Formats: sequence, C-alpha cells, structure tokens
Amino acid sequence: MASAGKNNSINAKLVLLGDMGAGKSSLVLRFVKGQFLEFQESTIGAAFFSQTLALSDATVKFEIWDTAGQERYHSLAPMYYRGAAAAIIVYDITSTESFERAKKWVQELQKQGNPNMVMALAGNKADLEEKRKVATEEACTYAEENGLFFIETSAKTAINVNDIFYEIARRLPRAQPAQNPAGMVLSDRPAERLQTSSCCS
Amino acid sequence: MESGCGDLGSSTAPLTWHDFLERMRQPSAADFVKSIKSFIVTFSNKAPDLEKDSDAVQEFLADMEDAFRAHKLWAGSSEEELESAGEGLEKYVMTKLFNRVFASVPEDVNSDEQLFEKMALLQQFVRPENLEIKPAFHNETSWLANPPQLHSNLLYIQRYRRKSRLVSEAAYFFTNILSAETFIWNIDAQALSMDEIEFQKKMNCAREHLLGLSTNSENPVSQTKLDGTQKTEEILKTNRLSDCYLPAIRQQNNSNQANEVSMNLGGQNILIPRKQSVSDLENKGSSDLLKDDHLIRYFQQYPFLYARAGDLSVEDVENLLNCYKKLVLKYISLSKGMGVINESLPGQNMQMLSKTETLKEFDDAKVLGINSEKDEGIYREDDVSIENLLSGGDDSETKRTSGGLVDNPSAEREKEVCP
Repeated sequence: MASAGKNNSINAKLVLLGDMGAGKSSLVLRFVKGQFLEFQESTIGAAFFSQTLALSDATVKFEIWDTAGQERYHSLAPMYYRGAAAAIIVYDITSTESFERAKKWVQELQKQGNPNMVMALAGNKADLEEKRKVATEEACTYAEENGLFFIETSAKTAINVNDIFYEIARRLPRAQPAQNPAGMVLSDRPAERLQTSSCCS
Repeated sequence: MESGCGDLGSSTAPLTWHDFLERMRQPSAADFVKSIKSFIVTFSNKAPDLEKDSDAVQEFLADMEDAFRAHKLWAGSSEEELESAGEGLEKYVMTKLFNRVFASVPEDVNSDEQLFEKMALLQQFVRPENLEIKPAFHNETSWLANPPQLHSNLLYIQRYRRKSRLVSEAAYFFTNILSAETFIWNIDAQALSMDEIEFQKKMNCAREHLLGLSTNSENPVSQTKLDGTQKTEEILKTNRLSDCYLPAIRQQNNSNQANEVSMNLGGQNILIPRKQSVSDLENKGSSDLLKDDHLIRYFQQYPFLYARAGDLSVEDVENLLNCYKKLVLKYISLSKGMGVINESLPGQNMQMLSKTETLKEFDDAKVLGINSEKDEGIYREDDVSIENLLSGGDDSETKRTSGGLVDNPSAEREKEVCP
C-alpha cells in the first residue's frame, strides 16, 4: 500500500506478475541495476528490490516484490500482491500464451487485489519484433478496456523500462489531499500521461 | 521449565534493549511500568483467544509507542530512538507473554506436528528436480531442513511482531517463508509435476519408510532365503529415492514369512503375531542405515549427537531436555501407532536419572545466583533493580512457567523468534 511520509515521500509496494520467462526479473534488474542477463535464472527466492524515483511533486520509493512465474506457485500469489499499491503484469510479445496468462492475472487482481491498485501491463521483449505473436493493438485495446496502463518494453534494450515505473509513480495516489491542490492529485489525466508510440490511439 | 534466554538482550540488540531499560528506570516512567505490568498480568490471566490476542498485543504496543512519543522522557528524541524504545517494549512484553502465546493451543501444536511429518515424508522423495530448481540452488542443508514448530514460529511472528515493523524487505522475506509453508501444506501430485498415483505411492512409501515398516522382511529369525534378502537389499538401495520398493518387499513377506514369528524370549519360545516389535524395527533400521551411502544426512538435524558433555552449555541442557521430550513423544506415538505396547525406551532409567541431574543442576545454578528462568535471565546482565522495578512482585510469573511437553521454548529457537 502506498503510504506517505514527510515531504510527500511515498512508499509503494509494487508486485510483478506474469508467466514464467516473460521477463519480470529482467525488467526489475534493468530498472534497479541497469543490467540485463541473457539467461536470467528462474526466480525462486530472494527477489526484493527498492528504488526511489524523484518526481516533481513527490519522491516515490518503490518496494518491488518479484514473484515466481511458474504455474505451480500461482496459488501463493495473493500473499505477494496483498497490500500492493501497484502491479506490473508482464507478458512476452512473442508468446500468445503468456498474454493469455497476463489477462488471467488482471482478472485476478481486479477480483481480489487492492481496489486502488495501479496496474500496468508490460509487453516485454519488444526487441524481438520479428518473432512477435501478440499485436500491439490487441494488447492496447485490452488494456484500455480494463483501465490499465499499457506499454511495450524491452529489458534487453532498456526501451520503456524506466518509463513504466515513472508512469506508475505518477499514477500513485498522493496521500494527503489537504497538502495538495486537487489538480495535482489528478496527475494521471490522459493529457499528462506518458505518450507511448506503442499504444493504440 | 523456562529456556535460558540469558544473553538475548545483549546479543541481539544491545543498544535498543539498554535504552529501553534505561528509560524505564527513570521515576517519570513509573506510569509506563505500571501499564506494562498491568497489561502483561491481565493478558496472561486470560484464556488464549486466537482472534483477539494478536490484536490486543498490537494495540497495546501501538498505544504505548504513541505514549512514548508524547512523553518528556523522549522529548527531542530522534525517530531511531523512538524506534528503539518500541523494539525494547516489544521484546519485553513478548518475552513475558511467550509461553502464553506460543504454540499454546492444541490446533497450533497439531499443525506443528502435521507440518513436521509432511516435510519429513516429502523429504524422502521430492528432489529439487521435481520443482525445476536449478543445480546452483541444490543446497541439501536447506532442502532437508525440517525445523520443529515451524508453523507456530511463523504464526508467532505474524501475530505478534509489531505490524509497523514487519514491512518492506522484512515483510517480503517473511512472505517468502509463509508461502513456502503454504506450498508445503498444499503439495500434491500436481505441484510436483507428478502422476497422482505415483505421488500417493511415494507418500505411502515414505510413511512406511519413516516408521521403519518398509524393511520388515528381514526378521533375523525368519531370514532364511539369503538370495531373496540380498535382492531386496539391492532394491532398497537402488530404488530408495526413485521409486517405491514396497511391492517387492511385500511379495517377499508373503513368500518367506509366516503369519507368526517364533521368538526366543528368556528361554521360552513364544509365538507372537507377525507385527514386529519396536526393537526388531530398530535393529533392521540400524543395519539399513549402516549400508546407506548418505548416512550423515539422517543425523544432520540432531545437533547433539556428536557432542560431548563438556561441550554443553546451560542453555543446551534446556534444548536437550526439549529434544528428549519430543523424542519420547514421538517414540510413544510410533509405538502406539504400530500397536506395540509394553516396550519402554531403552535406557529409560538412565534418562530418568539424567533428568533428575538436570533439575539438580538448575537448583545449583540458583544457589550460585545464576537464574535459569528465561524471564529473569534477560535482565541479569543489566540491573537487578530494573528487574524488580519491572516485574518484582509480579505474581503471574510463576503461572507462566508451566509449559507443556512440546511447547517449551528452547534457547535456540527463542533467539530465532525473538524479534
């Protein structure tokens, strides 16, 4: 849950969900450490990261909870997304199966997750255009219908990786309306949103 | 019996603990001391209530922290100092309430036993490969770990660790272990990418192996067909970890074992039912063990096996006693489960003796001024007057020292669960 401290600093728990091999851990590693491993190990344990982003109106400290994508751990996911202020649901643009799994995650979060959770859909491995199986328009339409922020990313080339975290940071509710003029609370207006070339218009 | 938690305060967070005691020593803290004592007494005298207990403690800690913040004792203090005070308070309160809240209801105790058993069974046949765990993570020590009272430990942290401090990275790692527990509870064929029948078969094998039953073809009296026996041995060795060897053994039972076994007891030949005695199983088990290539694995969870008397500390005595009680319980349960009666644990008299000596040792310790009680123990390095101030005349003290057989905290575990 996002919680505000002094000087409008926000602690926000962010959870990554998605199919095994979609690139959840790679996205985080790229974002937090600027690294990319071609053969990232499956996530089975310690995968907690924190990263602070300075925005004009707030400092957002993300506490990032990575999760294991294997289906056998699916039933444990609620323990991880409980209380999360944000979620990135990751799929692999070269795998329709991973996109279907992403939709399932979205449904699950809509049903059981924190209702104020900021959700982003990340079509990862955007560098593999020649192997693409999931059309950008399809994902974008789905995201719009479900009120998600959508962007295609590549942990490998770093494209849009920082952007997705910044955009989530912008959309997090600012804690105390009294300290903020109403106009600033609504920082997630379409006009202020990150313009992404990958999204349908 | 209380565990020796004597160096807890000084070994884990000396500054925090010292700071807390220091402030509580001030005259202006008298009201705090009164509130804390009163809460502990009231809480201790109530029957356990899983629904309300955790909330009551969390609420009390939160209220006290707020009160600290507003009090002149902490005027001008940094957030860190206030945090320290909160930690100190939590440690104090929870040390006092430990026996009252830890594994204090039958459900928790049962869950501990069940989880322990399930892990012991799974450890016999689940391999890292079943969970697609890469070789880099094939750490046998953690893979084969089976910490006793795991469930109660996790519940204790979940319920009583101050919620405002179980956040961020600590919360993440705690969630990992909680989810591991949940995963183990729910492990079924599917979770291991196994066929349902195969999974059931392996669970049954593991259960029988755990009880020593899978090796019952080799009663010394009836062991006549050496060839067959050797064959069984081979099957045992090669199939132990990969497949169920039980059918082969059953077959052998039928072929070379009568329904009754003749045993020579005290010069008399007595016919007893085919069900084996505990000592038969024990003999069989030990001869099997000796043939095992990975013998050491079975002993890794018994830290005292290779210890000498001189290596033991006073804390170890508590721990050992605890282990002994568990062992007895397990032994009796196993015997009962097998329908074997009238068998006493070998060397029981000796163990009774050592138990007496243990008690005597504690008496001696008291004479020497070494207080073996956990509650007092944590203060003895600080200041006796503080101890008197905080808990002197607290008549609920003695009520909480009557822990049952299984829920006695050991010194080791205490360190793990104490925040």
